[in-house]
Amino acid sequence: MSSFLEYISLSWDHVLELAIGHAIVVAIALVIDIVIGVSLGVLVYRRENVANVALAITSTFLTIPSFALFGLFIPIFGLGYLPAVVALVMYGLLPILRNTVAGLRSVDPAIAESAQGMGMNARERLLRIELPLAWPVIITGVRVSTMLLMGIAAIAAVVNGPGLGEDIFSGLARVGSPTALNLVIGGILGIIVLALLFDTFFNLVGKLTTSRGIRD
Amino acid sequence: MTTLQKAAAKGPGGAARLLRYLAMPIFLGLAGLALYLYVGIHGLDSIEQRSLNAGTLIGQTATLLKLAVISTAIVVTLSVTTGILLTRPFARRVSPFVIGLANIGQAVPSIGVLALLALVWTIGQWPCIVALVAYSFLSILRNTMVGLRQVDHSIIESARGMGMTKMAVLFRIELPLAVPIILAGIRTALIINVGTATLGTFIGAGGLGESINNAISLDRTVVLVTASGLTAILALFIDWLAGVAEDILRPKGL
Amino acid sequence: MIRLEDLSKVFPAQDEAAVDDLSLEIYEGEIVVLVGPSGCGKTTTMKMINRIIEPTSGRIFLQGEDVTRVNPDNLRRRIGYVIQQIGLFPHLTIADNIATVPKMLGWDKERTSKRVDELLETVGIDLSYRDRYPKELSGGQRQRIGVARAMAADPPIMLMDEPFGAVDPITRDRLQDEFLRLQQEIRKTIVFVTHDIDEAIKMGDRIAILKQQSKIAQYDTPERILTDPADEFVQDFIGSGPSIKRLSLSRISDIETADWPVARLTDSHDEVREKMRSTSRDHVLLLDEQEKPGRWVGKEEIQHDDTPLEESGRPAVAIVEANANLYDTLDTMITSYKGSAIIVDEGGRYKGVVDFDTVLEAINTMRPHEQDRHMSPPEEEQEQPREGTERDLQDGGEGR
Repeated sequence: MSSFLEYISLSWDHVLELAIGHAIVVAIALVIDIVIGVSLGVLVYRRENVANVALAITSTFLTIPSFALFGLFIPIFGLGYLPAVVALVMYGLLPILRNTVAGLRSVDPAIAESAQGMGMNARERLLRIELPLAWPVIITGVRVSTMLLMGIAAIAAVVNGPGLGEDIFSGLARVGSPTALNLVIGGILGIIVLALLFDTFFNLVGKLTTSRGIRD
Repeated sequence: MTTLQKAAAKGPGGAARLLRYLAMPIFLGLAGLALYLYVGIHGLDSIEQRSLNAGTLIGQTATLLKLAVISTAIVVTLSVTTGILLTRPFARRVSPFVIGLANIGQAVPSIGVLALLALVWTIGQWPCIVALVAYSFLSILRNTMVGLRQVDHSIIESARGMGMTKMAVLFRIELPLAVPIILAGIRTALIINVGTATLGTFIGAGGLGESINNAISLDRTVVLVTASGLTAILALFIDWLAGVAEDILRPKGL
Repeated sequence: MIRLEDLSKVFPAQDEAAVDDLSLEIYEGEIVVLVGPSGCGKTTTMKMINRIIEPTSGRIFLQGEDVTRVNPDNLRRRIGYVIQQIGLFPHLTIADNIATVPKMLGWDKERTSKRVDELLETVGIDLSYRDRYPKELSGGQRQRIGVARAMAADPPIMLMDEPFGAVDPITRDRLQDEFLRLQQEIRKTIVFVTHDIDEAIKMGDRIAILKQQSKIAQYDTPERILTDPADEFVQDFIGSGPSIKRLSLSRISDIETADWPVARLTDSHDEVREKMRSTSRDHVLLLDEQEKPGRWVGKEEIQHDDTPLEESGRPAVAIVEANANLYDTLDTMITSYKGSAIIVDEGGRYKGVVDFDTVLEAINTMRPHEQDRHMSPPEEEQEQPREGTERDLQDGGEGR
């Protein structure tokens, strides 16, 4: 325990640097996922067959072992940021897509009908009624993706990607040496702390952007 | 009759369902074929041959499967038992806390758990199995708890009202109704564990990940693509198999 | 105002048309109720007017304009739409809900805000509810907001599909009364769908009784439908007691009041006894200082001066308002002490007393028509003057 604290006080800047890299790569992937996931969800939620295909494909991504996927990407994207981001985008897509579709479909048909009856066209209905009502569910999907990506991003180290995975792999490579455990624990704790921070952030954003009328 | 046979017997509509079932294996078969041709066209040097021969690959696949299946069996047993305990009335206060923990637990990196176990215990296959169990435990536990909670309360109430003891309700009502959830849990655990087990190579457990890792360090693209591709195909195939099994084993009426 | 021409709707999954060749005309300022058994297509018909459901064939004319093919979103902004489940937007405040159509039409903030306040007052919701959310309101309140929202842009036409269906009968009654009062002021053209014949009779200026596939069984005023049902279907649909239902269409104010002695609680016992002697009745009604009915006192009960007037006799409880209908009045009278009901104005002040005799007399004026219907063939009946209907037409429907 004491050696870990010592380690942290000595190397906190290094851990912080890795943590920032970790956070950035996850954040980039999340932003792309939200854009693709929500747009795709909006496009397919009314068409059951297309939606099912989209959901099946994105869930296939999650089934592929991350190590294998990162490996496959090396010949295509090389090493570094790019393969990491592409792989993370693929992994984080399903929860957001699935929740967008579920959220939009869960809007009470009576509400949608009264909006239509008042003369709202499809675009206005989507933007002013359906998306705001589906929003809490979509935010939950974003949070799930965030947790997922935090853990998977650690594997990015095998493609020389950024993030705290680097420390974990370093620690593994030095089995037996005193610093090994500290490196690994530092990496894991760093990821957990980042995960908590991101989750709290999205939780807050969710609460702030959700109308009081549907918060419960 | 199995679900597949029934689907085939149903005529045109059944044919569509059958097709949906076969879509994945057909795709995987084609992917495998593509890999085979790729290797054939490219040719292998001596180093590559050491990884890409039938014996090595089959051995590694077997190891991977062994690691995944054993850890899945253990984790499902543990999480179903814990799940049952945590959904009893006496545990009502604890359960939200556990679910919250499980949510955050998803962020713990699999490689981190493997590394921890390797450093604290030793390297090899058994630490790998323990790590796999530890890593997937919280997810499966949460799914089991959510599934058990979904059992309609009015069903339980009418069972108690008929004089069934709590134990009887558990074994004769809740568990049978929870079978689909448990099956889904097994499937999920299997997939998670196959994924994590590929990293087992880093703590000396062997498996297909070893070929992938070797390919990365030795910079052999053919081996990399083939090993990674095979791993992906294997995982998708197991998932498909588990899905079919889930459909077949699901009790009728649910 | 609204003309439906050979309107039909066939749903793809069904063999029979949901609405088959319906032609109907609705005049400006009237409430037309579409009523019929479930599945007859009444809601489908209504939803074709604002093209929530697109007609398979036929045409729709609004104020003379053929709107069968115009842009539906624009069309709907001119029509108020109230559905049974209300469909308030849960994520918007009450004020924002009501302001939805005005905002779409580009009204400026001030005008919209004033309109919101106006409407809240009109439907009887306190202005403090502006910034509340639908989940904080009761079912009855939500229904009122739904109506307010539909009226926001002041559309000349309103479509209402079982708008009062989702609340309890007491609230529904109140909402119906208030809406009728409102309609007297705003005079919109309203198409109202319900499965409840009693609601149809109460609310409609004209009622269209629809059979399967929205075929019209009878399209007429409630009175004529009740006294002269077109066929067995209509008769069955009206149900039992059509004559008693007919009573609900007459106002108590149309009847002459009976001759009952009235005194004051502030009078002396002697004065009351004096009143009693001058009449053949055996009871006197005592009013309080605000002219409101207080107590019924019998002859024997004021022979002596010992009991103060406020404690003599029994309290007067069988009270109806002047605009009550005969049906409700009879209902009150049946449970009253003396088989009588006291009529008061909006302020609760005494106006008169009706008893079984006076009501019977009013019913008797209707009965000749009833008896004739059972005795002579239909054509002859048309020529006889009908007091009730004439009076309704003269008042321009003011009675309801």
